[in-house]
Formats: sequence, C-alpha cells, structure tokens
Amino acid sequence: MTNTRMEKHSFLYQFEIFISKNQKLLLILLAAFLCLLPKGVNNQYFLTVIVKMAIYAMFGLGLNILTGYTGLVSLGHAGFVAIGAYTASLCAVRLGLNFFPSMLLGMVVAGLVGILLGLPTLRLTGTYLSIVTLGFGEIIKMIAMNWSPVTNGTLGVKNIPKPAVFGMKLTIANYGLYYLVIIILAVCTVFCLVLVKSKTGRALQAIKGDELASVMMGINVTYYKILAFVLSACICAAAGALYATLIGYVDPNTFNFDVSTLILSIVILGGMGTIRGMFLGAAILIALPEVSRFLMVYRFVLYGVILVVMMRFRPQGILGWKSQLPYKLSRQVMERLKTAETEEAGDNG
Amino acid sequence: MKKGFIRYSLAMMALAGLLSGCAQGNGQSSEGANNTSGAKTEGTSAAGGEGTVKIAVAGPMTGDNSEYGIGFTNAAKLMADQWNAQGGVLGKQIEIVPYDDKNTSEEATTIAQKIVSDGDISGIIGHFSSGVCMTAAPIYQENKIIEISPSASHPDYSKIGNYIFRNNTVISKEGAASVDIAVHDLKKKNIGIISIMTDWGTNTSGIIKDLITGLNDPNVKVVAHEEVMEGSDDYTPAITKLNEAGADVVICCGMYNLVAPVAKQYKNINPDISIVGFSNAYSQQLIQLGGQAVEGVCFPVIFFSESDDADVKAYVDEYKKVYGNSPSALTSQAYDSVGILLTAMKEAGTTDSEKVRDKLNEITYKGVTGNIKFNEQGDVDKQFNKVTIKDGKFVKMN
Repeated sequence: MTNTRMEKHSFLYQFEIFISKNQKLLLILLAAFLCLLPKGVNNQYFLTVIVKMAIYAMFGLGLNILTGYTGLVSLGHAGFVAIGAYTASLCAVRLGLNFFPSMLLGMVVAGLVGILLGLPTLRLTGTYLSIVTLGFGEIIKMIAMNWSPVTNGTLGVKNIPKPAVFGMKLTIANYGLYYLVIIILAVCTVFCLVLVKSKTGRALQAIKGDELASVMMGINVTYYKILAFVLSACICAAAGALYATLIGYVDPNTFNFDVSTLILSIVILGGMGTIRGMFLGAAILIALPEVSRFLMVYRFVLYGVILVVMMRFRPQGILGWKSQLPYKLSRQVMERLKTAETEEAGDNG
Repeated sequence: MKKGFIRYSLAMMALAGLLSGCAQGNGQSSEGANNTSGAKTEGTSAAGGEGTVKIAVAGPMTGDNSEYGIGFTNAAKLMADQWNAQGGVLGKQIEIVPYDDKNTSEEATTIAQKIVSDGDISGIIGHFSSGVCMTAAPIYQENKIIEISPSASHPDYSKIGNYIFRNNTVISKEGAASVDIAVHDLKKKNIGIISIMTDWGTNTSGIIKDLITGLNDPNVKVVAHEEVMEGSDDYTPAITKLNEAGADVVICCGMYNLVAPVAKQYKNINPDISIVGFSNAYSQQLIQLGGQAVEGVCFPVIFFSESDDADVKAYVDEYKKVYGNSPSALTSQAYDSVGILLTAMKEAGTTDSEKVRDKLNEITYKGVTGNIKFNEQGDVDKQFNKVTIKDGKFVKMN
C-alpha cells in the first residue's frame, strides 16, 4: 500500500472532498448565517467581539500574504495598521471625508510605505528581516507620537466618525458596522483566494520554498517581494481604518508591539499559508480573553498556555494542513497549456 | 497516521466545546439584556427584583498601571462590605464586579459594550486614564448608565454627558496647586518641566506652561521643557538639558515611576534642585524607589493618609488591616465614589439610572477625600494638601 493511497482514506481527504463538492451550498449557508446572526443574538457586546474578530482576521490575511505565502516574517505589522487607522481617521476628522475615500487613502499611504520598507529589506531574510520590521513598527509609533501638528501627538485622534452610507450612520447598534466589516472581510478573503491561485501567488510560494531556485525559474524576486509587502500593507491598512472607526479613538499606544505579536500569533496559530486558518486564529485569540474574563489577572496566563500547547502539538497551526487534493490550475493556465501542447504536436507533425 | 488523527479530532472537540461554551454564555447575557430593556420602561431596573445590586469597577488590573485598578477594586470592596454589614442598599447586598481594561481604549470599549449588554450593572466606578475614560464614556452615556471616574482629569471628560461624573479635580486645578508650590512655597523663578509622553503628560505640561504665563510675573518663566518616554531608565539627557537651561525647580509631570529616577539622576548632576510632582506620584513606591533622593520632593494631594481627621484615620486603619498597605489618593477617591453612588441610590430609593443621577447632582457627600458635591458638569472641587517627603515619610508642608 503506497502512501498516497492511504492518504485517500484519511479523514482529511474525505473532509476536503466533502467541502469542495458542497462548496456552493456551504457558502450560501454561511452567508445566511452571517446575515441573520445580529438579529439572532441582538447583543451589542457579542457583536462588538464578532466585529473585532473579523477585523483581526483581516489583519491576519494581510500578514499571511507576507509571512504565510512569501515566507517573510514581519514583527511590525501594527505599523501598517497604524498608518491605515491614522490616515483614515485624520482624513475623516480634519477634512470631513467620507469613510470610504479615507480608507482608500489609508491603503494608498500604507502601500507606499510598504514599498519604502520593502526596498531596503530585500537583502535580508529570517531574523534580520524580523528585526528591521520590528524597528519599523516602533518608528511608526514614534512618528505618531512626535509629529504633533498632524497626528495630535500623544493626545491621539478623538471622536472618529462612524462610516455613513447615503447619510445613514453605520453603528454596532443598527448592525450597519457589522455588515460593513463582514462585506469588506469577504472582499479581502476573495482577493486572497484569487491571489493565491494566480501566477503572483505561485511566484510568492516559490520564493518561500527556495529563493535561489525561483530566480533560476525566471521569477523577478525583487518585484514579487515588494508586491507582497504592498498588498500586505494595504489589507492591514483597510482593516486598521475599520478598527479606528469601531473604537472611535486612536492614540500611538493603540498600535504597540503587542498588536504586532497578536497578528503574528493569529497567523501562526491558525496555520501559516492557509486562508481558513486566519479566521480560526482570530476567533480563538479574540474570544479567549473575553471568555476567560472571570479569571481576571490569570486570563493572559491561560492565553500563553494555549499558545504553548498548540505549538507543542501542532507547530504548523491548528488548520495548517497541506491540501490533500491535487493542485488545481486555473482555467486560463489549462487553456494555455493545451494550446502549447497542440502547437507542439503541430510542430512535430 | 492514526495517532495524528486522534490528536486532531481531540483538538477539534476541545475547540467545539470552547466555542459552544462561549456562545451559550453570550446567549444568556443577551436574554438578560432583553429583560432589562423591557423592565426599564416600568421605572425600576431588573436588579430591583431580587439578588444583588451590582457595581462595576473598571480599570487596569494587569500591566503597567495595575496598581491603580487593583486599588480601585480593593477600595470599592471595602466600601461595599461596610454597607453590606449594615444590610446593603435598598435591602439588597452590594456586589462589586471588577473588569480589567489593561488601560487600553480597545478593551475599555469592549467592556463598556459588555456592561451595557449585560444590563444588570447599576453603575460604573472607573476607567483609569482620561483617554480610556473618554472612549468608554459615550457608550455609557448613550445607554444611560452612570460612570464615576475616580481618576480622569481631562477637562473634556465630564462634558461627554450628564451620566458621566468624576470624583477627581480637573487637571488645571491640580496644576495650579503645583505651580503654587514651586513659585510661592519654594520661591523659585526658573522652572523646568519634564513630562511623560502620554495624553496625560502632554496635556498637563501644556496646562502648566499656560498657568505660568498667566501669572504675569516677568521673573518667573519656564526655562526648558523636556518630554521623555515613560518607563525608560535613563533620563540623563533630558536632565542635562534642563540643568543647562538653568532650572532651579523641576515640575515632574509623571507618576512615581518618573519622579523617583528623575530625582535620583538630577541630584547626581545638581544636588540643589527642587522637585515638584503631582498627586499621582503620591505613593509609598516613590519612597521605596527614590530613597534618599526624593527627600524634599513636594506635591499637592487631595487625600493625605497621615491626616489627623478621625474618619480618615478609621478608613486608613481599616484599609491597612485588610490589604496591608496604605491607600493612595486615587484609591481613596474610588472609595468615596462608591460611597456617593450608594448614598444616591439609597436616597433615590431605586437603582434606576435617571433618578440616581438626579440625586447625585443634589447631594453633598462627606467622604475621606473631603466634601463631594458634583457641579452641573459632573465635576468636583476639592482642597489640596501640600505634602513633602521628610526623613523617608510623607509630611504636610507648612
């Protein structure tokens, strides 16, 4: 009995087959569940926690592009979150812009900074890169703290308006903010799924696998690494803008090193290089401190214990299994492959 | 393979259990919320039926400022125990429910939402720093729950709404007292300011500068202002600059963990320097950390635990007996905050927020931190004691 045949009978294989067969039905069920959830629970606190989970899942998705798929570990993603949150909230508060253009501006600024950070770090890998990103996170925090005329320094930005659609304010109480966050999360997820399946995604994964080999295969490593930085920064900035409007107040200490490590923990706990993992990671790491609130001072000890136990028994992350199904090439690629094959056959004949 | 599968399924089961447990808990609390919203229209809160009157204490129970949050909880419990011993309030026992906000806005928002959703909390004592208070306060205001902060000092905090109170003086009052010590008691002219880079530090140092300009005394001036990161160990660069600028008194806008090292390091450079702090430096820790160097450091405090007042003595003795250390100023303000809230409930005869709020605006409460009378804004005005350190002890200044 070969190894592959054994795999076919595994629980995981059956599970994945089940998922891919019933994909549409499951998606509809999920969408219906998410739509009805706020009416079902009708509890502001519960919804706030759900919205927080969704926002942290977006942070996870953002960092995952960089860490999970390209293999560049960043310890300073709170910096990108801060850029998104600050840009969006300053635009909204000072210029009176609507939430959506503010968020886009935040993404653009974060993307530009992503290029700036990407360029000097190209020659670095592993720990050295992590140290540089760690410094980056701190630099952003210091800028927010000291550039008082713009960021209002340590006093932070107060009274950040809630997003409005056609004059209707979206808050937690009228479920608007919840739906907005879920929709943006869905867009992000679809984007990530498409990205992973695309040529770019394959290039990123190749760089993670072996940078030298990727160069030999003709992949422009410089370009793809910077692209990964930019995309990662943009997603985190978008989530940061949502975060700012949810909390209603940002100050430099909102985006400290703890946030960076929390985002990285979500990615690692959920399963690096998977998209499903980000949701579970965020759900666990956000829900846990809430559920264990009664433990008071011990609740973050429990948090640490769970992380340690997970790392001992599932170092690849809870949902970090490699897909057992054969890799699906996109239709476009298949067509090109076919034409190439027929052309070759034609040449021979 | 098999082993891996078992391990995997176990993990999933544990997870499922965790999630369903969480969902259940929330389901229950949402029911609670529905009940109260129904009951509110009838004028009495849901807590009116049976059980206990719940008062939340929200503050940093873990992290850098945990001393304050734990102090708030201790003080609140002490006050609640005293009331409970006499039969509680409105015939019910009082329960103190602590919440840890880690002094972050994010946690504070979540806690505020939780308190609002649970619907069985009759009032909140807390949130520690002004910034955090101002994030949570709009949520309480919107849902008509009384919040009394024992520590918020930013002028804008109590303006958020009519359910938002503070049992602390506005920072400009305290700043005036500090400036008064520096200029009139110590008779110094060249003032240096060293402040921590937090919302409180920036705000306070700005106010101090305005106050000194407002004195209209051409001889008194701010010679230098240095901002430092809270929690760094070496403040020598800032100190050197202040010293070169010719400061003969330094106003330290920071807590004891700033004042103690600054005093130590400054006295190495200039042994004659005078140091003036704020009431949040008033902590036994200051003497422990600073030792000889903090001798002669002065600051204004509202609450002085060595006071001769009989009520204060009884309270300090009781607190020491239960918790083993003397209460700080902010802790005592938390103690009084619970006291005034319970008194208002007793006089209003209900825990209904609106009526209790009206009562809070009316009554004058005699507490260990002086007479408390809220003005229309929800602020209090109190007398400051001037305190200095002599022979390793806090003593009143003459």
